[in-house]
Amino acid sequence: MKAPVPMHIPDGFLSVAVSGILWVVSLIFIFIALKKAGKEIDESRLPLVGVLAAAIFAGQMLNFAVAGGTSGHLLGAALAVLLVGPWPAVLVMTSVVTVQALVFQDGGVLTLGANLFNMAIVGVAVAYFVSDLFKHWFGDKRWATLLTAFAAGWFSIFIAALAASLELAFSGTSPANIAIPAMGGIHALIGIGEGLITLGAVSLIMSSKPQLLEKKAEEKVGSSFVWISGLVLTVVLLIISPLASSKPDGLEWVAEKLGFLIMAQDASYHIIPDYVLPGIQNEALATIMAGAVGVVIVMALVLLLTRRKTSQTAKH
Amino acid sequence: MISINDLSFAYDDGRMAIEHVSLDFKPGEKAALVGPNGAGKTTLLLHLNGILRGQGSVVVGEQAVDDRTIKAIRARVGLVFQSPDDQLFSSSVFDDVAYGLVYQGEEKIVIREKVAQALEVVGMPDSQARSPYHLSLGEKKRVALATVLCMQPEVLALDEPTAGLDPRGRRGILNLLADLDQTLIVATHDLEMVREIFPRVIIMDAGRVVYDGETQAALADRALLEAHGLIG
Amino acid sequence: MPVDIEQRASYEYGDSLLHLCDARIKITLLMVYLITTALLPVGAWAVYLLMGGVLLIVAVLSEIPASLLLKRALLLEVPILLVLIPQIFLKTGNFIEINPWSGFAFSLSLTRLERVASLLVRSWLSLQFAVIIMSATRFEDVLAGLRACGLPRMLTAIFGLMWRYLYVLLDEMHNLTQARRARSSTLQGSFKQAGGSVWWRAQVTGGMAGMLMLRSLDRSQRIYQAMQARGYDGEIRSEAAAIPLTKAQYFSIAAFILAGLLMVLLANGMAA
Repeated sequence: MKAPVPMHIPDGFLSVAVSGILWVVSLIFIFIALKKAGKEIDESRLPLVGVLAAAIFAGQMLNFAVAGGTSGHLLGAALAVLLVGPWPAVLVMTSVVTVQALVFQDGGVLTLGANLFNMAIVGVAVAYFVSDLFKHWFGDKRWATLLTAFAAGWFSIFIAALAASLELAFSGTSPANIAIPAMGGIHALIGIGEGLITLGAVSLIMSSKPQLLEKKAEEKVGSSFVWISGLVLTVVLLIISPLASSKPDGLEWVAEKLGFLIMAQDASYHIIPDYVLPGIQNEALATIMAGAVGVVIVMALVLLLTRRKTSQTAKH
Repeated sequence: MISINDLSFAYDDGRMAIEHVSLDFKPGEKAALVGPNGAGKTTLLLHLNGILRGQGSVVVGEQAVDDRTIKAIRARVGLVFQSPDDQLFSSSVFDDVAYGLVYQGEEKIVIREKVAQALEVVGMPDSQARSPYHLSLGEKKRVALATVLCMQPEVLALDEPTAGLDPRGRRGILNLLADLDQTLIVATHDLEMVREIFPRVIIMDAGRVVYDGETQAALADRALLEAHGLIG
Repeated sequence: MPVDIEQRASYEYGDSLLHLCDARIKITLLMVYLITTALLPVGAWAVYLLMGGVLLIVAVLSEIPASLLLKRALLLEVPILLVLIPQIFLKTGNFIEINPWSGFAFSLSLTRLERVASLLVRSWLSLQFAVIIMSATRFEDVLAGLRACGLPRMLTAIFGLMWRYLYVLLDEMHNLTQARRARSSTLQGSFKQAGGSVWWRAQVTGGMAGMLMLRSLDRSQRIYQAMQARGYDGEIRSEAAAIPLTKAQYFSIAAFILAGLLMVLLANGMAA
């Protein structure tokens, strides 16, 4: 009974400082969302948010076979944004992620703030920013709406994964040059599944109840905040991630100076990104290679594990 | 055609859904499965094409239901669920009816032909482009039947095909069922329909078969019907 | 089709001391335990053992079978785990070279190994402790407890509604996939490629997700109408005021925090 999209950071993987800061950021965002919901959104939205959260939770159990026993899944942040607009979507994803942590122990309790940040805030803001941008560029023809749905799905997953990997690196859990390529690589693939399912769902809704996808009047109020957050998060994470993964010692140095690396006791050690790969002298190349090796190992293991699982359950 | 031998199935909590059920169905036979709610009718239907797999054996034609044969058996036994909402999940009626054929890898031209045919049979020839979401319950039930008919199964297993329908909708389904030549196994509470269409009736109660025989005789036996909650 | 609800719900019925304990106390205990564990330094194995002892006591108090508790804590995410593991091959800190056969050698950083092992142990302790607490607390009580701790009323209402309809929608989803499975067949003796294209399968799955969303939106509309019919006017009435905590309960909360602090100090003292 756990979400199949592997983005939930368990307890113990983040330093107290990183957890604490992200708790504060998430709470502020959720608080604003509640204010918006209380004021501008009509009251019939309360059951809507609760039931949609349940539906997204259930929808996360849907899958389709890809190849070699892997399967595509839904996280749902983009779909929620497209259906109910950004602020209610923050509340929908907040409910999903919180119930997953509290009831099913999927993702930690102390790290819940970070998981909320990644999935309910980064995921939603990025999906909103990307979908709005695509609508602006391509209009609302059928193919454009479907492309928008795919892009919103893919970006929400990929950028949220970058955020998660930076949090792990910043906590000293894993060096940036391992965490970022591995998480980013896997989720670049997982994002395709997310994008395709979001696209399929939007396609069905377009032919059944298209008015649901129209921009809601109340959405205009205060949504620019989410839009700008989405823009900033997308740009910043896309720039920082490759920088951090090519200079992992830089990130650890910063984290250490700021006092984030509580667990890193070996303060005097020198990180030489000189990897297992014999014969590669070039530092940057070794880093990239190591990252690639990490991703391949992860993919192989994921393939292996999911194959066993799907052969047991999903023989559709 | 179908032979069920000493089939039992337990829920996860250990409660028995069906116990020691043995039944045989001849090709072209029309049999009704009746019994109170929770008697195990749906559970039994779900065994016919391997959605559930209990203790004992289910043999379709000469093939036993197992991991190897399951996909072939699903092509031979068409299952129509009680709620058509479970069965319809596409953006158009065409896509929904075509699902099974596309999955089988059928060619486009054949798919188009078979879908049209199946919708013709259920009396919904002009609905291909409509969204299943907007159909009435009666229409949904017809389309759900078409999603299975288009695969030309040898056996049709239907769960409550007339439940919730208005009299005209019900009559339509009844006429449809009477005209089909497939082996027909139908779980229902609709004794009037059973009397009209099904020569054979199987009464289930608490997971067991308590009567298997001629419909006329069963429906004449008030004590039997009352004992198993079939008349109020 | 009833799905294995027992298996899914994390709450285990019981009337143990832990079950009967006020949810607010349990939430505080959980938070103190998690923060303490997160603050422990790398390699403080003796203190980890102590924390394990605390966990054991609480597990015994819950009277829930150990096998069940252990099974529920087997939840490690493969990708996150693999983000963690490769670093032990870095040439950092105190490392050794391993040369199993000529022409192939790799380094193993003992510093990193200890770090990763410490992290995994603390992560498991945290997860296992959360599993025990949540297995002994009904979600409704968790909500009421959070409400009493200041969770906004609207959020409580949304969580509550989600919880109320979660299993309804999980069953709906289960029925959809079951019906899809029933129609996923191959023809006997056919050489056609079964299963359709990945693109098509994704579209079908997306359609199912879309249908689920549509129906849930319709359902929320009906729920709202039913709420209105019972006099709901957009204002969520406050529920009965929570019973104030007793002195003994305040005392135990203070004791938890003190014990947590001691653990952290002890661990740091040993490390220094």
